[in-house]
Amino acid sequence: MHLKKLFPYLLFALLASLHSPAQAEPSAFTSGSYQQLLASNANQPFMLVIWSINCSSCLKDMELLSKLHKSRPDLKMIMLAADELSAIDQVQQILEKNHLADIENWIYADENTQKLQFEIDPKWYGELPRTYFFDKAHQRTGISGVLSKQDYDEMFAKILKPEPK
Amino acid sequence: MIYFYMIDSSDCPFITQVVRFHNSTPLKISFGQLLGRLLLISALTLIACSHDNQGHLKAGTSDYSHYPAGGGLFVTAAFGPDHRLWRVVPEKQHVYVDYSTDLGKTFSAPVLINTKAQPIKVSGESRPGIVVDSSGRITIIYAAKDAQPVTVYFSVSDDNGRSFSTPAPLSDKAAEANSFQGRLALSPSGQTYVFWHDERDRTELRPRGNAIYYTTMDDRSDVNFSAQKLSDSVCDCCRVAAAFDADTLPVLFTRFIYPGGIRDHGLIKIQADDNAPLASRATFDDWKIEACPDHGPAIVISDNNYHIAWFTQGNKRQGLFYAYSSDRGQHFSPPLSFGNPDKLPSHPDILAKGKHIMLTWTEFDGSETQLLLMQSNDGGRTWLPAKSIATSTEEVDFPFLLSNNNDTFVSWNSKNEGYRLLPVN
Repeated sequence: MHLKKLFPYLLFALLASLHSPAQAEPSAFTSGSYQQLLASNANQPFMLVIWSINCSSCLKDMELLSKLHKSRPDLKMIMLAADELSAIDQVQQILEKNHLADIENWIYADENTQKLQFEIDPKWYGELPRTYFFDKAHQRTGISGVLSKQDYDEMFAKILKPEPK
Repeated sequence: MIYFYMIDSSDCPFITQVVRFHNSTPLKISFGQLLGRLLLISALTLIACSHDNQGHLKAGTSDYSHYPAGGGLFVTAAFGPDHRLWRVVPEKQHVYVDYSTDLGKTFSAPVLINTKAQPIKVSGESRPGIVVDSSGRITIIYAAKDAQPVTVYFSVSDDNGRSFSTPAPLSDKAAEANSFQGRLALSPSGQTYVFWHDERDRTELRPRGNAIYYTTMDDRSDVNFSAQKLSDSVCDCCRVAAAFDADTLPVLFTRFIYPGGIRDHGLIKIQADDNAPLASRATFDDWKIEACPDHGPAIVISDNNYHIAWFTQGNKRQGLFYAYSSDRGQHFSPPLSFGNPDKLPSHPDILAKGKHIMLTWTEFDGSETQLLLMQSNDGGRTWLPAKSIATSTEEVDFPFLLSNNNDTFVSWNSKNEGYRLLPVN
């Protein structure tokens, strides 16, 4: 049997054995995934953090995100790595190191990243990190750049605010 | 680290199954052993054909169908003194050089630069580079993963591109620190300069801003570069733009991190006789952000005027802007906005021939990318309306203006439409 034919099976076996089932890998983010993400989080506030392994500012942000995740279990945090799918192991390593692998994680899985970017936000040029805060009705605020604890707290207060009766 | 070389019989007919452990001698093993070992070690780190396959490569067209892995997106091109269009084409594991004698319609058989496969680390901002000097010497640079996550390599050819030197790291500290965002530039006096971002000076105490180093490549013997530092407060995700002043010394234009975390642009002028470089701020958009814009600027110098184009999301202005300086960068004209702000105008390049100034950039409407061109015939004082000169429906590279004698072209690569060299009329 030729190795080439066997290769997909080998790859599957390898990937399956590489990762423990407890730490799910990021899901593939393709055209339409953004709408899917919104639909599956309907009627709940959440924060979407878009980052990259090549973005030094994003990596500086990880420790604080990790702390926020720990201290604010009431707030749903979703992360999206704007990296090539081939970098998934590196993405996963960084997430695990920062105890962020157990949240909802995504990774770009379409080479046309400009299109993915546009589906998320037609006004966004792609600078990273980019953080979106969604309230219960999914009214959102998008902010580029590293945020301080105070910035996060202010935005959380805004999106978690109980609806007026 | 364990390397497992995937075998493709069409490219590498002489290699059988090979597994290599560390630096030990390759072992020939049976197929069952191979499978067992692979499952046991559970690691697949590199899939590549390590065989020198350039003997199989043929000439082709602009669609990269003659390339082993279909070419790559981040292609850099330059005209040589022979008026050929030379390109450096990176794929995932290999880098190639080819040329066209018919303005980009057909290309020569690609010449493989790195016979040893490497994970090539290129992007729109961290690009490969190519220059051909007046003697015909071709110099190329590209970034790849090595001892560090990213290292800039160079390679040269002194036989008109038939063969290239074994790629070597550009930085004398490549084993210790990342080097990336390489930028090659050929001066009017024939000197080849190379600039790059270097993390050798990065410490926990000085987390803000990166360093630019440079060296010249005029030594025809074994290269022994001495890297010189130019700045240590540049934004590390935006490429450096370079032009040459009347004294033939380089002027760099790049995004700095100014006090207060402001990511605006400045100039760095290299001085003669080893004098310290001069730095000055050129844009005042007040973009206070701790982020990676991944959006480098452009500069050209013509008739002693500096012409600059840049992107910002500052408090004062947002989008793409142009300005000129008649006093060698001490003062600039008020920023002129260009591009449609509703279509994410991005990645400008600029070229000048006397008072004829050309700007190119891309715009995206969610499904299609347009390539825009805008021209001035009076040194940037007034501009003709921008026009769209090409489109693409898939992923695109940044556009670049290239000069060949009296002719100017936009060099634009795209996944769907392949490589295009578009004349500027």
